[in-house]
Amino acid sequence: MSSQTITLGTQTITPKVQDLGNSYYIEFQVNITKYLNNPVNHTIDVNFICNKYKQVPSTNPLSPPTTVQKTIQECVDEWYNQHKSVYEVA
Amino acid sequence: MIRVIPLYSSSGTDPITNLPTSFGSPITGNSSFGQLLRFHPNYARLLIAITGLSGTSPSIQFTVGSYYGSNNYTLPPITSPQYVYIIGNENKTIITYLNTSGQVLQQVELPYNIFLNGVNVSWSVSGTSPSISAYIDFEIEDEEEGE
Repeated sequence: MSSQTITLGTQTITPKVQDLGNSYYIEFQVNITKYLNNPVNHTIDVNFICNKYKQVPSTNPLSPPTTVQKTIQECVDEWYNQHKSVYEVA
Repeated sequence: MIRVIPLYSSSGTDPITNLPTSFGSPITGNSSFGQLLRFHPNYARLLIAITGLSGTSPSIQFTVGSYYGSNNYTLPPITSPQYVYIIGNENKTIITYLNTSGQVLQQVELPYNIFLNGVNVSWSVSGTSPSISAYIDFEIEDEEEGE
């Protein structure tokens, strides 16, 4: 289990991260101001699986994309992008 | 022939194949999905992959059943990511719970095949401001021609 400080909205969070091999298991808490378009003000628990790797296109169009490891910040940003229709974080 | 029928997917990545999925959105309330089949499959497998839960005490509980009839089975509430395989074969159903590392947590056997002419999956969600990421698909093996 490791932890590092990252940002989400205006908040600084320290997610707990567990390495599952090809993926991460990530847990953190964050304050939200909106849930499904309803104004709210409370803290939620978040836990999710994030694939550890992503593919990036090669600069050479003839070469295949390369696989690189994602950062925890990228995983959390990805989670928020997928949940923007549900939550607005403070 | 094996056919895979996705029943529901939050936007994100299929945790099993690592392929991107782009229909649906995170689950925030009760709902159900089903698939009708006009024959009895030789083999049917329902995969329920819960890949994330958010909210205050978020929880989701699934009921799985046949498209017709009263063969329903309610799974325990799920409060953290896990995978559930429900395999119907001949006259029994085997339900396997795995953690996100693929380790078997529990196995349950039912003395009947839950998938009669299809599948129906419903779920109820509880907690404050819940949002759940899930991937649910139904895989079947058609009867061979001439059988």
